[in-house]
Amino acid sequence: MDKDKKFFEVVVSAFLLALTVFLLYISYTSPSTFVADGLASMDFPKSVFYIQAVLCLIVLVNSVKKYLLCIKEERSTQVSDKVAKTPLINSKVLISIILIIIYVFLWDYLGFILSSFIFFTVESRILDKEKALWKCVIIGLLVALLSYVIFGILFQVSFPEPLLDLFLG
Amino acid sequence: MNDLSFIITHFFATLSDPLTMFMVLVGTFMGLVFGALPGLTATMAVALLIPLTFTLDPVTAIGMMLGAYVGGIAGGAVSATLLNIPGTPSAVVTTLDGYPMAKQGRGAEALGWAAFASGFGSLISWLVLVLLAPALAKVCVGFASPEYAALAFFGLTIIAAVSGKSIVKGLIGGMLGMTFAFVGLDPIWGDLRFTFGNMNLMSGISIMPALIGLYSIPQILLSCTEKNTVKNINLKLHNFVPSPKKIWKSKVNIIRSSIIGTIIGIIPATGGNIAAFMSYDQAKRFSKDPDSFGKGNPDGVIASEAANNGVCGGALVPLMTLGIPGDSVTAVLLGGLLIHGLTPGPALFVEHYDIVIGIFTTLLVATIMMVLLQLVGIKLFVRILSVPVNYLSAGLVILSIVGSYALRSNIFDVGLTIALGILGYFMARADYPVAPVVLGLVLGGMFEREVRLALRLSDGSLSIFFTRPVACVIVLIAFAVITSNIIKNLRTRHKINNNS
Repeated sequence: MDKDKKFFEVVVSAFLLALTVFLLYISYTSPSTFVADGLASMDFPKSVFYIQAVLCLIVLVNSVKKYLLCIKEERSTQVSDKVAKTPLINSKVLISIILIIIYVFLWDYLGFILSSFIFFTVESRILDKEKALWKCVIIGLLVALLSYVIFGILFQVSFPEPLLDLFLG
Repeated sequence: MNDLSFIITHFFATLSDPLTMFMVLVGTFMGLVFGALPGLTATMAVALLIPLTFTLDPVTAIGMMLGAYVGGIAGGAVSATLLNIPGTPSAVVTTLDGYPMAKQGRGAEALGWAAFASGFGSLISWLVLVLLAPALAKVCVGFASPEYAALAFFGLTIIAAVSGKSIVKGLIGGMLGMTFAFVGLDPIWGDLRFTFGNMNLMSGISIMPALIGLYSIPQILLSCTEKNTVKNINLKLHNFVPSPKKIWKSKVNIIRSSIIGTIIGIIPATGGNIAAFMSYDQAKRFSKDPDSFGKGNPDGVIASEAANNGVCGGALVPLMTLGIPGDSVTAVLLGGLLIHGLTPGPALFVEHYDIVIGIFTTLLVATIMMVLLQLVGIKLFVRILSVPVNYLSAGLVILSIVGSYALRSNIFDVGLTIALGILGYFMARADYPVAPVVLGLVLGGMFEREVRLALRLSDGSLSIFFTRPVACVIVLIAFAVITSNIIKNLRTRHKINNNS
């Protein structure tokens, strides 16, 4: 939807503007060892941040105008009350973000294999509830083990495996 | 004549050694796998192979590493095309047209072009390496800060070409990338910048976690609500091997992109991603249908892949002749050469000419094997598109997280990937292009460092960029590019205003 895109444009532009202003403040307040002629360490970033702030402001102002226009157009057209409003962010996306964060967090407690298995099973089931649970479980197990064999053993990536360490002493 | 017979003898001696050919095949295959998996790079593939080559003779050992190099760079196109996740940094540009082609059911065609263009790019750079190596190295060894700064500046002007509909959003993205590049130690004074007391940020933001975060995670999140849209096409050979007629039609793009890649590769401390961006920009600029770029135009894939593989042979020029690595992979290769008792430089060509011929031969063989392996593997690769989205998305998350962790075994990189992934998702929803962010991250650090060094050399005078011929030419070309982009943009707006 165009209105949703304009909304995200406003949000992202505002966020980037706020980030730029914050970093500009940091660049003015950070200590420097600069002692000679030439550019100090924060001079270059400051120039970039000033330009970025101006550009973000331009995009923000334009996107706010367009968003307000979208809202005005929507109110002035005859829209049936029965049309369901789609949420700005799909629930599957939100759940996926939370699951990814939990998955990484679990590495240190359950280890790579177990947390990958749990994550894959839960995530694949949530993304498509029509798929049989046993299929998600079997494929999840295969993916977790295969990932460990390929990356952990073949490519020598050192994964945290606290449970395995516990069993093996 | 004696020299020619010497060359021919050693060329065929290398070709007829079954162990060498087998090891080159293994190296190339491993490189392709590493290149195709996000988070694993050609550099890692070569580095992992070094210990395995200790007992091999120098030509076999270096040949295996070169196979991994060539395969690794080419392999990035597979995930870039099929999943919109660049397998290597140099495959970022391939996503721009490769992925749209895959969504249109032309994934096999895109991979076929990628394989062919990669092979051609490698071949052109191999010819340059073999015929012109010492002469070209002398030119590029004269490159100093003004030339590098000019090159980085020219690279940054390409933001306009990869910005899509909004150049302003592209510029913001590019500056955001430069902001990421500022994190860490100041290159001149050593001050810590934007680290907020976090030790992990002292070395800056690594490109691989940033790349995975900006490309992989948003793509996975966006596909959460999608169903499989690509039908399972019954693939035949003519579907993905480019026909001679199509190759002839794209000959200018192929040759130009290969040459750009070779030249960029010869310049030390550059790399495939800079070459790919520049080549893409030129292909779009000279195309009869520039608006089709970014929507599934094979010329975009050709430009990117020919250039990034063209870097391979080019990067070996300063390495073999002067001992200066052309990119990060050749830096690891330098270690490989030294371990096998070969010191790169002019003496190498005199004292170990037979080994040099052997190395050049293995590079040619690796190129051919890379193309054949890709063409043979296409039918398998494209099956990835048939995997149900729920399994694919969940698997890709695991692959992406592992990819960002694998580089330094540091969970902070994973956190960075997720944070950038969430930012990338919202940027995608707001129609902010991601390619400029990567461009800014890759080139921003180099641009700042070299500009500041150049200004110190000239006591703060900008004239240094115009008094040195090579730097002057590059800067003027960059300004010409900016001007043409502004004029094109104004014309488009004028047309839209007239139509409305």
